[in-house]
Amino acid sequence: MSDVTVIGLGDMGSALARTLLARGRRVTVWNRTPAKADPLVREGATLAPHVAAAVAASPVVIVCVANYTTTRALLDTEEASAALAAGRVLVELSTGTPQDARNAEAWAREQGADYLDGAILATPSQVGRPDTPIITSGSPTAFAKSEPLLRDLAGGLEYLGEPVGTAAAWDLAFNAHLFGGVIGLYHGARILESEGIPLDEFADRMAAIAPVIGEIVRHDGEAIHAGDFAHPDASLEMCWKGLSIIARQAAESGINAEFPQFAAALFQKGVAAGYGHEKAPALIKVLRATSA
Amino acid sequence: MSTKNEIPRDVTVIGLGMMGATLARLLLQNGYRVTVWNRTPEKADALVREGAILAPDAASAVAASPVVVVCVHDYKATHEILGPKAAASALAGRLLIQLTTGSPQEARDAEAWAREHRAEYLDGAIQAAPDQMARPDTMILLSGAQSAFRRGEAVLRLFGGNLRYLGESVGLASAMDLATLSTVYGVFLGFLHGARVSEVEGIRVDDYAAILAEALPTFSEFFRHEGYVIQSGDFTVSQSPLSISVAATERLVQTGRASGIDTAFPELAADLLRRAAAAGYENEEVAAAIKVLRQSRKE
Repeated sequence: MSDVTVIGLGDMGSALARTLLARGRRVTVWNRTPAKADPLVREGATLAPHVAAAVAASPVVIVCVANYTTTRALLDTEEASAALAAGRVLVELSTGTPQDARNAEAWAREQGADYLDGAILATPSQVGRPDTPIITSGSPTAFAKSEPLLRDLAGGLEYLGEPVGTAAAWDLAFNAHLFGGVIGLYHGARILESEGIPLDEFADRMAAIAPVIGEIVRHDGEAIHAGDFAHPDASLEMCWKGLSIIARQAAESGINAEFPQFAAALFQKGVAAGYGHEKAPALIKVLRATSA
Repeated sequence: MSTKNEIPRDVTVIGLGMMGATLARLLLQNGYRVTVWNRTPEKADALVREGAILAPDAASAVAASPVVVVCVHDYKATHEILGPKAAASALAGRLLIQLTTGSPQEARDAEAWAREHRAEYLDGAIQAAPDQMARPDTMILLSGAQSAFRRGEAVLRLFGGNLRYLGESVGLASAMDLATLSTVYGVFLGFLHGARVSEVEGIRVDDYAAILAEALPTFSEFFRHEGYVIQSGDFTVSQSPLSISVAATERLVQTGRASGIDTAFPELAADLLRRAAAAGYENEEVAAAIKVLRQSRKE
């Protein structure tokens, strides 16, 4: 018997299996395209002949595939289900929504398996570091049984509680932030390109000011939680003016202006709603007032 | 003439908002003779008590010192203040340091205008809040003629220990400033959407923000990497394929719709990434999305 099974050997699944092997764990792997397992087998992993055998091979089964539908398609067979029933802990690290996680937990319980939902807030190359964040939620016994293995993968492991959708909600909230940053970054890169400035210094600068942005984010979160937007360092109106300049530079240089126009229009709504002299996170009041 | 005498000890500060007042105060504390001017003169009261001289009009403020620092609302305000003939002609031979936020084009226009009036011009962007000034790491981005930078350097060093002179092309400081702001605002909008996800899922927003602040160095490593990828032009997958980001942003849209929150932000992100996938960059590094931005020129 192995210590852990990893199902799904994309970049992330392979990084998980490789890290566990490097920590001396006995690892069984399975992937729809078995060729992807070749390098891991050379490093000591056991390739299971089929999914049910992979589930049967270890007390803890980590799944990291494209989405929850794929997981269900793989495990919803009589053989795999029977293997899960033998007290397996299913750790779902594929990306999904809180509702996906709730459905998956209900299904796993029907099969007699213990279920933990998790999200890796890092890229494959960052797996296994002392600060790599993996957030989890769901059954406390499932967390206790898989914790040592997950800690091998991520020193920054966190258990967020029993409601199983919590980790996915956090993951989405992180992603929202990350994509905001990425889109802002791309537009920033276009500004520099349009002015003929090389990007390496910019990339270093953005990495260097991360702690400063972190402080801003922390204060903004506290303001939103407290509902107190008075006495701003930088008012919502100042932010709107800053974004207006970014939009104007785009017009002056003829580059794509979608991001700054979008952002400036949103801040303008905040000013129009009377939040101009409040803190910038007062903008959440505009978002609360509009729905999908 | 000794070297010491070449360093200007007289400086004028025009614009006494929070930042302008901080700059004037720093100069006073360092023994400079400081002339100030502000459209609303009451704002000068505290500084006058600390030893500043309040000029009766902008022209006399300019005439009072060889170095004139401007920190006002925008470039248009600068032009309204310094544009009238009396003030403009007083600029001859002066060094004008523009620390107001603006676009690269405004910096180029301002430099051309200053030169017409035989003034030297330096454009700068302060990368800090007023209460963060004068620290060894306080960063000020600067661009413009090298001679202008050398002439203003001693004064600027009182404002911030980390001066970054980016070159003679005068729009550079403003471009770098705007590019940085673009990322910061992107982060902010993403954070706000995350706060809405947290609110509807019953997560405390301050908890979300605190964990986010801790995770930011990991994210920023990713930003740095994507910056290098764009610079190198090699979009072979190295960290994260674009297809994953298409799925992730679409998930943000779907979840947002299902819970009834505003989805304008994730739709913007998903739309950009989908266009990149449709353009054939699906299996490239996510930064390949910039190729879509390069092609589309929407006004």
